[in-house]
Amino acid sequence: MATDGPTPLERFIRGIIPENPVYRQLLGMCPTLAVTANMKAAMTMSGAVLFVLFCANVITCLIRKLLKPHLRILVFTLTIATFVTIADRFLAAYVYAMSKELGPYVPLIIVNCIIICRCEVCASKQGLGAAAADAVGQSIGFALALASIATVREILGSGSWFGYSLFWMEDTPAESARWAIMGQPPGAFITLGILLGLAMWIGRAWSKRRKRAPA
Amino acid sequence: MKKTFLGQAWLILLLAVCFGGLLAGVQVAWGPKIEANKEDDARSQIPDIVPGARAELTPPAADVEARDPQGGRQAYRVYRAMGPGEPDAVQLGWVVKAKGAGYADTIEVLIGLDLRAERITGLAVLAQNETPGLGSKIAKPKWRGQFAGKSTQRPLEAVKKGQVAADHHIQAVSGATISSESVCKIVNRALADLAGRLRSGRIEDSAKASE
Repeated sequence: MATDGPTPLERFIRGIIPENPVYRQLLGMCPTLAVTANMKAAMTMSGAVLFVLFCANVITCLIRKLLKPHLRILVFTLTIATFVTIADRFLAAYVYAMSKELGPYVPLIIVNCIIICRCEVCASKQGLGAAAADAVGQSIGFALALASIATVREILGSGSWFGYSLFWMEDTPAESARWAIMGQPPGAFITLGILLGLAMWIGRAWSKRRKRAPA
Repeated sequence: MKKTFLGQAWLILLLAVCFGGLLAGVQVAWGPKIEANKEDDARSQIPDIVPGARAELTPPAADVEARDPQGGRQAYRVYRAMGPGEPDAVQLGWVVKAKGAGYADTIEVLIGLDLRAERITGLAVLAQNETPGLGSKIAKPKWRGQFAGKSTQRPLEAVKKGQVAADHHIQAVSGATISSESVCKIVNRALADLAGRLRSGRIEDSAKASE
């Protein structure tokens, strides 16, 4: 069984770009839209997802031979919910302001379909190495996707990046430098749409070039 | 064995027990720290709801319990909101932390009161899980600002837009009548339970008595 499917390295690389959870699989749209108004929130969310996905993948992988097919989703959810609760309590204890800002979106990682999808597709079928590499690769892919959206939204919406105001905007009053809608939900949809279109366009251009090359 | 309940569910039961233990450990380790963070957060809101008060001058809160005739208990936390004065800090009002049922989850609020507990000076929402975009608007300054200046003589009432006719009316968030009513109920109950005790200024005595 464990020899089937992609190797750990393949799993790791695929998660970052070729099977990027946001841009290629279109999974986990809720946090992608909700917590990308600034980089700090987006990176905290990515960190929480990395922790939860890694732990859930490892546990699922270790018990994969014991799983009953009709009860597997229940086990996945139970495992994920446990680690999400740990992540949520950790944020509340050590970065309370961020925990308040993310609000319900941390507990909502429980229903983030990226994690259930990885447990189902990879961790419940492959060995420990592949499951762990898959979790890290997918999380990096998720973090990059969130970072790309949050960068656009924070720079345009608040004139800052990671909370530091940008040098060319320092002379302008903060209020006039802001494009308020970027910090709000419509800005999230607009940014995601444009970046998704761009990612598809680049992807197509690449595959076209690859097809042409051997000829 | 395969067909029995345990044969099917043993893994889930085992995992549930292990994970439950893990979470209990997490709660023991981080619970006090989270409570301290919440307390700091509540104190930092005091200047917003009692004008002129400073969080750092306000002494630790007293936990007060009220009992209703049916035997139900309601726990409150009461702060003496202090502001700078000559030579010592002076008390400017009271802040009461109260909670009650909302539409989706428990709502926790801080109620600012003047020294005689006759007027509300402000309201802050510490915790709520109401519907995002509707009920969650109870936490916005625009809505909760309505409470400032209200008399504590009559229970507050949430009414629909356009029906605000009297001083004790609060305009409900449109689409979130239940959330709005819940906040009014929490405030009304806290005032009914505590206003008399606050007026007499003997809140710490009753705190001790309830221990």
